[in-house]
Amino acid sequence: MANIIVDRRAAGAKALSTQRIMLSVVLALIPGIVAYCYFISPLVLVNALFAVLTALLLEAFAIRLRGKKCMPQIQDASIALAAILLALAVPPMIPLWQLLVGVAVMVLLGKHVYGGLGHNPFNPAMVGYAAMLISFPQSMTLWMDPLGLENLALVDLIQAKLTLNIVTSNPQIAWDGITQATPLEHIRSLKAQSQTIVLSDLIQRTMDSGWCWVNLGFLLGGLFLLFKRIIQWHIPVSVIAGYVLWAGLFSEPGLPLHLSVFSGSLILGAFFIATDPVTAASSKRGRLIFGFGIGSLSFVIREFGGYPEGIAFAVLLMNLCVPLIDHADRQLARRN
Amino acid sequence: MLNKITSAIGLNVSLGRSAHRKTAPFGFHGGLSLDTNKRALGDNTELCSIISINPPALLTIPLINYRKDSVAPKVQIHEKVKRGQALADNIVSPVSGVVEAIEHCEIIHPGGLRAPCVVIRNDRLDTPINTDTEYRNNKQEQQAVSHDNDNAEAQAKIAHFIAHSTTMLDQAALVGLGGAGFPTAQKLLSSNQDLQTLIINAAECEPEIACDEALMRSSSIQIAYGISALSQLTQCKRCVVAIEDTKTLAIESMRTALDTIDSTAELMIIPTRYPAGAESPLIQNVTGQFIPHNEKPINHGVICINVATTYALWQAINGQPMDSRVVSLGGAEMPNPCNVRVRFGTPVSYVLQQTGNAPADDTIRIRAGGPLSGFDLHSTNVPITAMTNCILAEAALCAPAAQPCIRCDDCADVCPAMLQPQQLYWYTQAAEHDKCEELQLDACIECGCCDLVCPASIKLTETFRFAKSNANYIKAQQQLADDAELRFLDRKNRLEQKEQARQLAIEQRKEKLRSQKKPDREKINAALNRIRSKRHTQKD
Repeated sequence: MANIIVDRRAAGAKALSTQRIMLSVVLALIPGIVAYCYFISPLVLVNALFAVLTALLLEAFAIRLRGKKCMPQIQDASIALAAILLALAVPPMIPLWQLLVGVAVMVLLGKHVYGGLGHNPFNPAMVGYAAMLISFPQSMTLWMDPLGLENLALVDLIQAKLTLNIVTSNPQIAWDGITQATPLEHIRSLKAQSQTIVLSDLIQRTMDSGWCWVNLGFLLGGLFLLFKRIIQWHIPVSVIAGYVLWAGLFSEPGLPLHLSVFSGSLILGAFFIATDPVTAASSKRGRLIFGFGIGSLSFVIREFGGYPEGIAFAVLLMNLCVPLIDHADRQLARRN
Repeated sequence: MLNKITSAIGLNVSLGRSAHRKTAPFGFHGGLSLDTNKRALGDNTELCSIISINPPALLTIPLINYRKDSVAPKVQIHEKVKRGQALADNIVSPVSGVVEAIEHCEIIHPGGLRAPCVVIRNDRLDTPINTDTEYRNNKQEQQAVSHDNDNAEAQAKIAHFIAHSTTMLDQAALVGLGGAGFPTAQKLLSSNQDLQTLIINAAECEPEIACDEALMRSSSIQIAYGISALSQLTQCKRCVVAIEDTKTLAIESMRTALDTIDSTAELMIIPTRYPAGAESPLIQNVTGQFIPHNEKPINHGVICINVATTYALWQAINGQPMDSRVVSLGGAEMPNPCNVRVRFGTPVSYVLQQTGNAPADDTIRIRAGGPLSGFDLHSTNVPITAMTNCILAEAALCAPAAQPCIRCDDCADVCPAMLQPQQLYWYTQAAEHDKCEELQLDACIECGCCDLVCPASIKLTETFRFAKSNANYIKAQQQLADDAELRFLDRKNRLEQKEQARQLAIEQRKEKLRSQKKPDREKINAALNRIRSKRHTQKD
């Protein structure tokens, strides 16, 4: 008979299981995903479904390879969550084989080479995303123009999703007509051409493209997670604060802050990606530093780097710093 | 102001271990708000009786102290003992009878350990020991005092106790009834320094455990006298009785009792939050001080005494050494939950049977201690001791398998010792004992809060308990090895010195001989010459 020391049931424990936590996060993503489907492209559902299925299969395979029982580990739903986050991060028109590469990198190199859940130093979804961004730069910057989608026949769409290269697969389709840059990319290209940014045009563009609504959806989900105490406020607040601080000090004078906060993937990153407890710092103070670092780095990458979106690399870079932050925090706590 | 800002942004840990609130009760870090679930109190009405049961025919008294070290018996097999007679240091016989055996028996222990015990056959006479006339007189007066509440008489008794405290405490065999079982006399007599605060621990924070609450409702006046005796003995500047705010009836009854005897003790109502009754959180709550785990509260001018111990002290002042305690019977599968006064050494199975709680089938788990601080018993044929505050009956439970830690840090949020359980878990799994020491594994009070909030169902408390005893074992082994090395080096030194001394003596002797030999040769030659010359002269 197993000797039970702490009787959770008799003590009335109300702890959430890992599975419940992960599924709650998936639930919290729903408003954002609905807005995404409506304003950007319903193709995200195809991507998400594909990513979740392949991720589950690959995880089962990886766990088998490691000689473990796969059911208890797959049940925690952590890889499903990571797959959905990856699918949300990539452009909806991405060819499925490229998404598969991203998922494989995420599951195998992002998670299981380190020993699975709880042992991975880097956020798996961001590892997959970074690998895709470096490997397929062209298709990773191809964002859908919602108005252009109507011009595209379903057959072409399926063909584009399944063929090897999105751009060369169907030369008859004017890709420029159905894709557009995200507002952030738009700003970048304008700046590169040293044109002046017309604010009203930009706001119009942001509202039109629907990114604002998508981000509001993610914000709603994030607040739900805070309310349900699935996540704590330290990381989201410090990520946004870190970004806003530098953006307020150094970005183009004409660009309003709320636009840059709500047009990229900062909200998704702050509430859903950076808050992954496995790869974040563990103490509250450490989490504030960690989040602030992500916010600051994502501003630096957006402003000076070669990529329009900085969250992924900012998260990965700060993941690298987590052991240092934890160690320093412990030293500090001991000194007091 | 600064504190407010920093605590708002979560930096309060960095600014020292300051109190959480400005006024008493000061609060403590972490903890959990649990359902109190005190089944033993019944429907929580005013009437709350403590059931008495007859002691069994055979009682088994473990010969171990609070550190689980065995102690030498003071009785022999077949010796007749009386109730209250010392069986060993600070252990008395709970009945009169004959020592049937002194042997290893199973005791209440998470690992089903066996320990040396004195087995006494009860003669059912309860003949008290006749140490002195004082005892007998008090024994006869006991009834009278508890009934007519004669304050003057009680004060006289207390004065007599203060005058003879050392001997009386020695005979009383008091140990703390809170669960740790620390010898009370040792605690009280070490308080030579001036004592700022005497805390009477009436918090009893764990779910299901209600023995102190029942005692406070039924015997508050005796407790009040006990508290009065304690505060006079320790000459404390302040005496605080700390009770959780959900125990309204106990608070009422204690307030009346303290007022009746004009006690100077103050009643502090603390928020109901587990583990408010553990020593360190309690001291933080009452005084705002954080006492490091490796220091004794007494060195900071604080002593904590359990409320049931003060009742036992009053009984001892009236001539009745500590030989019984109130045990709560609870749990979802206990048919007849109640509080019962049990003599030490009574088997758990006997208690359950006498109270109509014999387990219906084998699947029911019987636990000793509460749902968090206790553990499942291997067998119910183990004796109740001063540490057994509660017996629970729970349905069989298949504990969920532990999943990997996701570093959510919920455990650190609830840890009343302000540790980082998830990092400690990591290091205990890697058997990095020095890292565990660095993170103060020793400071863990094993309250079980981290277990309750862990989303991965990791058995943290069990791991820490094991790691602590393992660390102690390693330390003990290291100590043995170090001692052996010292002995070896000593012996080597000794032998070397001996050898050196011997060599020196040989050298000296040789030297001496050599120095003696030189003049001899000349003398011999001279003598030989003399002889030769003599012979020559004789021949001639």
